[in-house]
Amino acid sequence: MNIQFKKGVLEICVLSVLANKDCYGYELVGEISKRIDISEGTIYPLLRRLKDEGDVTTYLQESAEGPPRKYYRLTDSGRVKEKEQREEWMQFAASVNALLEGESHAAD
Amino acid sequence: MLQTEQEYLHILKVRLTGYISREDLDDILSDYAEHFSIGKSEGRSEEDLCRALGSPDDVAKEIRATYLVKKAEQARSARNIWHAVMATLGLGLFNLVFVLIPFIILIVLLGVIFIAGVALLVLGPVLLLIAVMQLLGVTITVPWWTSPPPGVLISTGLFIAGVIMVVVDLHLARFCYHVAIRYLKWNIRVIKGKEAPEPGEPCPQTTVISREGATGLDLQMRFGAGDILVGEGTDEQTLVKLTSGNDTCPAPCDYTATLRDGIKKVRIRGSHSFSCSWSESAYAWDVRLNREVPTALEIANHAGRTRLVLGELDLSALRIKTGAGETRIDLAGYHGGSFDAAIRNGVGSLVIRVPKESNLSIRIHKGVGDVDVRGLLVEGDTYMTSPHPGAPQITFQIKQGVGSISLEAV
Repeated sequence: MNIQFKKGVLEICVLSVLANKDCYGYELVGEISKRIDISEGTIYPLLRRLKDEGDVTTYLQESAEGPPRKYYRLTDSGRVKEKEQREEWMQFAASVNALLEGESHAAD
Repeated sequence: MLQTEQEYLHILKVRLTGYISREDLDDILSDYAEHFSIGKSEGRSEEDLCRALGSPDDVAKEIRATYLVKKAEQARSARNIWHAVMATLGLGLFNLVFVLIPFIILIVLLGVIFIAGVALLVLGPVLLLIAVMQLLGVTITVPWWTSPPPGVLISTGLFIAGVIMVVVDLHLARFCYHVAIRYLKWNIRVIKGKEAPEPGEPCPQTTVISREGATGLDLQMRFGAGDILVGEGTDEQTLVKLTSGNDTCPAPCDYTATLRDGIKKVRIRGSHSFSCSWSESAYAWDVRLNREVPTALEIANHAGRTRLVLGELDLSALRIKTGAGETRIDLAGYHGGSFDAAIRNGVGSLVIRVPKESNLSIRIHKGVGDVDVRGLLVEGDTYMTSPHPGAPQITFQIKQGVGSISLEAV
């Protein structure tokens, strides 16, 4: 898939995963790269930016397996952003799908 | 292709050092270290993790661009916005069309309005003066283009128009600055320069020059154009480890090495051909040196960024000549032998970090641009540290063409 595409939607993917539960970096990267093929390293700069913009906060939490892990949590403004972007995306995707399906019917 | 966690973190660190604050750097490195440690505890190999993470260069570029845009947003200046634009440009060629061209058109437009405004501002009062004098009955010869001279009303009108133009232009510039920042942010969010390399694609070429018992290194490197990074990081038996090219294209380069009287003489030439497509990032040369072997280092780079992280090395001489492009020399923490350094920089900023704990003397022939010095004593055009008995003696001669110099003792 076009990489320009992927990068544009990465932010909403991250916000959406975090809307479900707090994650540590590795877990979040795993959730996303499971479905979207992307350079995993680029998710960390994105998380930093979201933190700078006040959409996520971080906290450390002990883990059973080793040293404490850095967890990311959505802030209130992050939740608002997630909701907005989700709606935007849903509408956009629905429109594109409708268009593409219309095209393929026309081609039949 | 990177193989180990250590290499990955090292490259990330080197690419970000000097660009972002110490705390941010530590924070970023710890994020990636955590990623590696959890990944390994789940049984993945370092090589696999490196591949999945992608190029640390891309990560560093993105962080730098974000950081510089933030800086430009907080402190408005032409210089900050320029840096931000250039860093965003570094994310990929696609941006050239989307960032630089609108940016330049905007600047030219604002500049033209400003100059026109100032011209009217000056012309207005002059014409007014002439008009008033003539009203008072004084005859003065005026140049042909002002005859007959406009009356008081028109002169005043021109002046007011000039004021309005300048004021509006300044407001417009502020507004454009704001829009530019938002636009750059959008770019960073959306634009991605290149695909992550698929395993098996051509990768950078590595050349290893072994030590063979040498007790000294005389290294001369000449490059046409590209990003050059020099630092420590070889094993004991290796003198020089040279990696050339970027993730998708190896850079052409040849070298000779001769051993004489225990000194290994190495000459490296990196040429630049344009066989690689434009959309790839510039050629990169990554040169790793042995920290145990005293090294006389000579580097010439005609165009491109030159970064030297020399704090861990043992130098016997340093000679740098650069054409166009930013040059950074980091000697922080240097505790090797004494040496003399000669730096000639053409066009581009020069950033030098020197160790506080040394006997340092730096002479600067400054060219066009500011000199910003922190943490050093000044005597005329010479900067020095307070004496430290037993610490290395370092003498710098710096000749700068066009661009700022930033000198900091750390």
